[in-house]
Amino acid sequence: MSDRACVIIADDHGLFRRGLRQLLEGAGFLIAAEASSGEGALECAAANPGCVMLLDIMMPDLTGLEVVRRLNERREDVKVIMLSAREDCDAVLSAISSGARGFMSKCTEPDELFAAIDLVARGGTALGACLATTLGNEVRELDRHAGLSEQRRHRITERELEVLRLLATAKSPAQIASDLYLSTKTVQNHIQALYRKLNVGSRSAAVVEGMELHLIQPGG
Amino acid sequence: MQSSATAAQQVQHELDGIVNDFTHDLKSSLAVVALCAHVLRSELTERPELNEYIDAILDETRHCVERLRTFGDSVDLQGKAGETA
Repeated sequence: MSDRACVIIADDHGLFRRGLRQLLEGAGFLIAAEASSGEGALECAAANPGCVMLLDIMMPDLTGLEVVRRLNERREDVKVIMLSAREDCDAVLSAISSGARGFMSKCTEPDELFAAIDLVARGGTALGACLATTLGNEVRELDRHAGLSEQRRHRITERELEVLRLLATAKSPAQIASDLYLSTKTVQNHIQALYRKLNVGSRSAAVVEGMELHLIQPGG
Repeated sequence: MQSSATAAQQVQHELDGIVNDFTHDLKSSLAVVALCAHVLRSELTERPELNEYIDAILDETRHCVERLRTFGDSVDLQGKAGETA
């Protein structure tokens, strides 16, 4: 008897379901049920408590996101991993906020999917590697947007921002001047302008303020 | 000026939708191809001479998926650049 989780597969593509069943059974998972629609997925969840459900987003009647919302409302004993060809942040965040315990790309490698099922069955949350990269990029993008807005608000020029980034390293004004092909005096003028605009009195305070305003990121 | 910016945003929004649908549909099909190749590999353990073909299918599908991701990202970045400008 395998100690791997029992699984419900909910996807409207018959061949995909069959292939997935074969791979999962070969890896020691027990397939409790299959569903080809959103309503079918809800019925399977009610009839097979304690399972992990692999749930597609795009289905003919209810979307996977609606299914996971309803499962959550009904407090069904099922842990859902969205298994979708969608890899955008909106889909991932909607799914997780609706109650999904994981989100994996349909293009994921089988071993990564097996590990995700094991993790979710044990109570964890799983996110596919490519999706984690997408989310990370989005968070950095949000951070960059926040930084742009603060840069405009404080009227910090691009050159001053470059100087601020280099102030966050251990470089001296002379080294910064060399990096930027400027004179040391010009760099010192930029530093004084930064202090004034950020309302600080020291290099360390400027760097801390720059990080808090998302003008610069820790580690560069 | 503002209305042309709004119109450009509208076009970008529609383009994003088309690209999302397009990449989703192609990735769905590629996922089925890759899954079938994995199943064949698990079932054809006594025909190792076929592994080369299965590897080729998987390598090519991975390559196509990566190309689609890059394509989707580049369209997305163009849209964000337009918003920022």
